Amino acid sequence: MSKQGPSIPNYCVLCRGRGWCGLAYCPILVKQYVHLRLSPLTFKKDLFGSSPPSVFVGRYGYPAVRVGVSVPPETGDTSIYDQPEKWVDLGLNTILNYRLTLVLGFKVNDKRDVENPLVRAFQEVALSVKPVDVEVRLSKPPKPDLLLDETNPPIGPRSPIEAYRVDSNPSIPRHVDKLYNDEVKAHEAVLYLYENGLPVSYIQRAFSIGAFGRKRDRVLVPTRWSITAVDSIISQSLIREIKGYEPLSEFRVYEHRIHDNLFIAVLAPRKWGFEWMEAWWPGSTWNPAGGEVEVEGDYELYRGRSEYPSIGGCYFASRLATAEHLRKLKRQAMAVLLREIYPGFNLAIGVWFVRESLRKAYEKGPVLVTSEIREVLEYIDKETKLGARRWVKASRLLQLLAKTEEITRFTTNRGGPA
Amino acid sequence: MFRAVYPSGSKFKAIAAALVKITDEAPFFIKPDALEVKVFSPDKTAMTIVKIPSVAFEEYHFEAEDYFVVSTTDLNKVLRRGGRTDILALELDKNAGVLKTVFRNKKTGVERTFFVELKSTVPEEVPDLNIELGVTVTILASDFRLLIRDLNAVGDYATFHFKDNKLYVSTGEQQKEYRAVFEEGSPLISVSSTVNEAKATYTIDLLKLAVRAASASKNITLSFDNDKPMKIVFELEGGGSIVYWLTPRAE
Repeated sequence: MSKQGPSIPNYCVLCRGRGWCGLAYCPILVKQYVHLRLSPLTFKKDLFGSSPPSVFVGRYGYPAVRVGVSVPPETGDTSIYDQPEKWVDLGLNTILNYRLTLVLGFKVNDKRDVENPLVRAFQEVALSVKPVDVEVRLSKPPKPDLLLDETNPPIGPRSPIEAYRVDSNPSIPRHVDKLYNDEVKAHEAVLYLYENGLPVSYIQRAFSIGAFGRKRDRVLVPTRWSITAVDSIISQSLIREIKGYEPLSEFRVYEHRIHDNLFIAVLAPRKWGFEWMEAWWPGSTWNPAGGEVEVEGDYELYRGRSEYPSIGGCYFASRLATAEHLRKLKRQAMAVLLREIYPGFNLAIGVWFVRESLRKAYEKGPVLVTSEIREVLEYIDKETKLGARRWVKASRLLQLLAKTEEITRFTTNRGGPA
Repeated sequence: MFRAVYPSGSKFKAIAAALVKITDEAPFFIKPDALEVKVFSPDKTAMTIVKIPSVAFEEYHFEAEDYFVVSTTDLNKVLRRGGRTDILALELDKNAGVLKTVFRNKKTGVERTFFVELKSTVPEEVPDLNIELGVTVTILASDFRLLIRDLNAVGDYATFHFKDNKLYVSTGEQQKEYRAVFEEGSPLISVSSTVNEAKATYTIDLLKLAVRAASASKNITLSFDNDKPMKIVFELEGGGSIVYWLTPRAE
């Protein structure tokens, strides 16, 4: 069955959630989930459940921000509800189902006031590596809606919090507890936790809730900013390390297709450089009413960049996945990452999707290894809908690789150290 | 033991400012006739050669040919402290692993000493470039800077086209275009050529690298030819030169 575009009612009758409309999720099923999962909550002010754990800090009103903890109306192992590292092989319906189940109880708090008892309690829940049983009394029943955002994972129903109680002991690793009580700079804490194997989503949560840093400097960081900051800090540290390794000796191309997205990573045998490019088809999330494919991207050369990339947090999420892979290979490379987003993907679900999809692509191994840029471009031409010509036109680093030769081609006799 | 005294601290800092844009670490080769740096940019699309002849120094002592490697960021930070009235002395102390950098004020005699840590990196081999280029023009550094800024405002690549004894420089992107015509006296200082026509395209990012050195020199000599690298030479006012080789874009 060819893709006919969304909202053709007859197809829905026949398809029944099998994806014939071309969307990466079923709007009817999601609507049903919302109704079924949230309706019972809309008249309840008291909640009891196991927080995965999940915390949230909003950015509106900064520095007076909304800070809260999310709880599903169920107990047990709910950890997957807030662990994007485990979502990459799941359907979008399942992920939305998880997120819709989490009810966020929040209060407005000054970013610097991290010592008040409620925030301290949120911090302890956030630092737990296992779900924590909590009781929440909301000041009014939550509204059954879903907040979708470019950077954050989807956020379910929410309501101001009135009272809060932790009913089980948070399981906080000893070294994390030490960081929480010590005067360690936040960025050092981030790197320490990463090197000790804690998931990036855990570190982002802890960073957001103001659990690390020198005590006088601790602040609540809006979750959206925290996600980008942690991706940036870790990838920057990895890049410093991989710059000490030799460049790859050949081009390597990686690919992953998921939920109407195509990810292609080209690692070129050059010193470090990085580019993240996205092509949004009309009808996709960030090009809903456009008539043409919109191509955007940002890049950095060996010396890095001093400005925030206009493409946003996915730049750092993709850079992290790439730097991790290069460190594993003990090589440096010039990385050009291309993403095509087709009309079926019209839902903003957060930058975790970029990071995890690329991790998956790298984990699968290269689909092409060659010494010729020509073969790389042929592959791009064959596999992408945009075609190599348009990608090269839009990508500064592909142009550099395809059209700019190394100066060594023009060298003659050898010189060198005295 | 290596010790060299350069008459102008402020002129020397342009060298570090140029190097910091192209490489993280710079190897300085101590040779009988000159102190020399030769490095590629990380993506190997540019090569920079800094050469300060020994005669440009007030003092130049060395025991044997040698080299030392320093962080260009560290060196740049230190050399930026040099003023117009400072004399710069460089002393290599390999045992202590430092380059001693002393600024002595010519008027007051006050000395300020900075130590720059030496790196243990072994320098990469940088081969020579001996290419005949058909077109050579000389231009004021200030005009060159203006040209690069104009180009940078419009496009990513600049085409240099020599024809009828005139130099046409252009760039363009969607709905944007820039064209400039240069000839001898307007504003080129001199033009010489062994070919009737030559055309090549270069990345503006690479040309921008070279702008950093423009403050160290009054005039700039620029050479190119059909699809060959561009050579940009800055003669340093205090003595010595900075040469950039920029790779062309294949069309």
